[in-house]
Amino acid sequence: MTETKQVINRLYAPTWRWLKLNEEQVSLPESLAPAKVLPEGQTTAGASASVLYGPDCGSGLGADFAAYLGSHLPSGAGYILEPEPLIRLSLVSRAGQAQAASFALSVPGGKECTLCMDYASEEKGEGTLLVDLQIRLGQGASLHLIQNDRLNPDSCLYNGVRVVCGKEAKMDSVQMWVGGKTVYAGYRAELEGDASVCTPSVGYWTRTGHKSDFNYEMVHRGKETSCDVLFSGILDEGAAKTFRGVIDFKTGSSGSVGTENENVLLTGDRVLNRTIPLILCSEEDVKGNHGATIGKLSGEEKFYLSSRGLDEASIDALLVRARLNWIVERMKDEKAREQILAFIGEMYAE
Amino acid sequence: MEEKTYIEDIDRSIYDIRNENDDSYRIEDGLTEEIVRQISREKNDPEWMLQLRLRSLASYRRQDIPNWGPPIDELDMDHISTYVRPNTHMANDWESVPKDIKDTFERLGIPEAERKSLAGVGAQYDSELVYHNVKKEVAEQGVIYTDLESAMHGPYEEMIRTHFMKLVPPSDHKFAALHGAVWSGGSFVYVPPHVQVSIPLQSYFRLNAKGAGQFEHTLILVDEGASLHFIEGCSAPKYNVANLHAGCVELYVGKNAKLRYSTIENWSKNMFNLNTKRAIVEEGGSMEWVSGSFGSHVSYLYPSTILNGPHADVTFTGVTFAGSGQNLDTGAKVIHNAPYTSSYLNTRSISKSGGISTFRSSVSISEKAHHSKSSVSCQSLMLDSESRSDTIPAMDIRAGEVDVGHEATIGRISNSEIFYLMSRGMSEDEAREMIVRGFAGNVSKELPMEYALEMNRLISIEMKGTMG
Repeated sequence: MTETKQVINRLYAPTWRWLKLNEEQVSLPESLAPAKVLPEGQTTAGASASVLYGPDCGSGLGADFAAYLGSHLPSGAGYILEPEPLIRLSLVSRAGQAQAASFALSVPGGKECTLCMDYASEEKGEGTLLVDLQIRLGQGASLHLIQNDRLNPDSCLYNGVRVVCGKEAKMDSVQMWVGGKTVYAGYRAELEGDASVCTPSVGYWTRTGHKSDFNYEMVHRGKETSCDVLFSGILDEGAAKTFRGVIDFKTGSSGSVGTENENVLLTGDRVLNRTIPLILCSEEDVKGNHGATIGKLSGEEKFYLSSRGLDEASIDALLVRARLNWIVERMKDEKAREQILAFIGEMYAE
Repeated sequence: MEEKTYIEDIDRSIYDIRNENDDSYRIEDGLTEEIVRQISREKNDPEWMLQLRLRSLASYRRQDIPNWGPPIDELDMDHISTYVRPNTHMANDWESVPKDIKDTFERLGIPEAERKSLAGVGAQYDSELVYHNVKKEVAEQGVIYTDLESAMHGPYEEMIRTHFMKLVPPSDHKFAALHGAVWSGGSFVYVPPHVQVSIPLQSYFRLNAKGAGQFEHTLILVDEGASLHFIEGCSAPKYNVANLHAGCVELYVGKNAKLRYSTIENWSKNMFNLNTKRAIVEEGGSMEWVSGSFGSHVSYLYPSTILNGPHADVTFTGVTFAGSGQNLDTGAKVIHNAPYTSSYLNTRSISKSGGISTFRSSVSISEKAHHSKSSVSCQSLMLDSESRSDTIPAMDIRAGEVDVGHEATIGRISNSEIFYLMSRGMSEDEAREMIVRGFAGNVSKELPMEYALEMNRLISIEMKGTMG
């Protein structure tokens, strides 16, 4: 399979090069097949990807990735989603293939939608799935987005989300990255309209030998906009994770508030956990804050549970799952919740 | 309508005194091998130092300009003189220092500070030290505090040769390489084992020459169980052309030793301050950085610490004040390279009148550094919407058994805080002043009294306004 070198998840404001955090260099397939999307019969964007990747359209994974998809997205792999109250999509990845699907959803003013996207593997074996989602929310529109990664542990996933929020629009998302071996997730929210809101919650479980690379950008342009980014994850022995988080208060975003919290549980002794949470501010009347706690399970937590009769393995399992459940509980769709909890249970059993 | 808090620029009048440079020796502008060799001849370098300079020059030419920090396009090395020697020799009494130079240091309060509160002083004027002295009782403890050039030709040559630019190699970055090629002046300090230097030593760097660079090197070795507080101050008059400061500080903190390094940086607003500071701390050692950044047009300043032995620790306390025309990129780096090490970074930054303040940090915890702890806290205060404040903190953690916390906040002076203080009988101006001074208090409370007062003078604050 021939590949092309691309840069994704580029850090919004670069820092020391020796940290190797400024970007992620990846090799993307030269040839892509359309991903299998269920239910069938969704409205496609036609043969050309330019409907989705016009000159002013980026991707959560970055401009280079948008350009790549613009030129590589296969015919029939671009979808225009209708803003139904509940949209449920399943993407089924096939082993041995590099598949892609791109979606655009425009939610008109005053409407509320829930979009559930489930990624699963048809069989065991290596496969690559590229998913990109472009969202535009009209005045007062609301979208609940759920994305569950239930891919097999040999898979590679690229997932981009880009949302442009109009006045008083609300975007909340819950993403669970617990399946694939390598996960690249990018997310960019343009809070253009006054009083627009974006609240992404992300749970991840990066297991031994797995790699996660995240880039989440919240760009505040309108007045009194707000964001609340929550990351809660687990890194097993030998896992590697990079999280780039950005809250950018542009001039004119007065009265805006941005919060970013990260909670990382380290279950192994040798991990690679890299975090760079940026707050950029060119507006005086704003409040931005970031908090991170990174460490092992506390002795106090373990002692309390052992005093209740649990052995060490059960305590670890309970507390680790609690970290993920904390995010899963935010899903506004019961079926999606049950699916991902069952998947996490299966992973534990393995 | 709410009126904005107004904070005046720092009153720089006493720092803007200029002396004519008619009788000083000034090397031609630019950077060539011949210039480097000429500086080496001027300094009477041993051969190994000349070779280090030439290797540094080659490294400088190989490396590119950083692409991640404030722009430095206005800095043109073809228009910078890298060596300016005042027409005097180093003295150890102020009366032997030429009058105009002595008057400058008098106005800056250096001799007075020496009399009142210091164990020793080094004063550098352009590229050379003009004064160096250490109190007799401190010298009698075996403490060496001298200029680097003298030390290099005496019994400490081997110590210098084995430590000079070993912690900050010329290959580290472009301006470390530049420093290695053209360095001049600076101090050498050695504190023998178990000697406690109870009052601080100070070096003060004054760059008077227009369109010149200052490249002093500070090398401090604090041996096992010893302790030292070293203070560094700097200033320059303002010119309408770029000046450059690319100094280098290398600090070696021995087993169970303790070093506090305090800096009040107050370069003029035409200065490019591209300074490199690094410490290595051995088992049980303790490093404290106290850093106030007020001057410069552009700053790249990130004191870094390598915690190289178990139970070593570092504390970094910093405040940065960026006003009109300033782009100050400051912060700290810590590398945990041994188990049970700890780091605590606590910074404040204030931006006003179009100033740009960036807090940049990195905390790296290697696989060896299990049971280590790190806490990073950065708070930024924006005083108007013309200004800019960014925080760019990185964490790279490779050990599992660690405890790392980070918090950052950006905001403005809160009306509720002002309201609370006013309800206690303060005027609004007093309330605002108290909040801003309190915000920067993390650094001033760590300084000796005389320097805290100096810092408060630097932050000359004037308030007006009413609640909206």
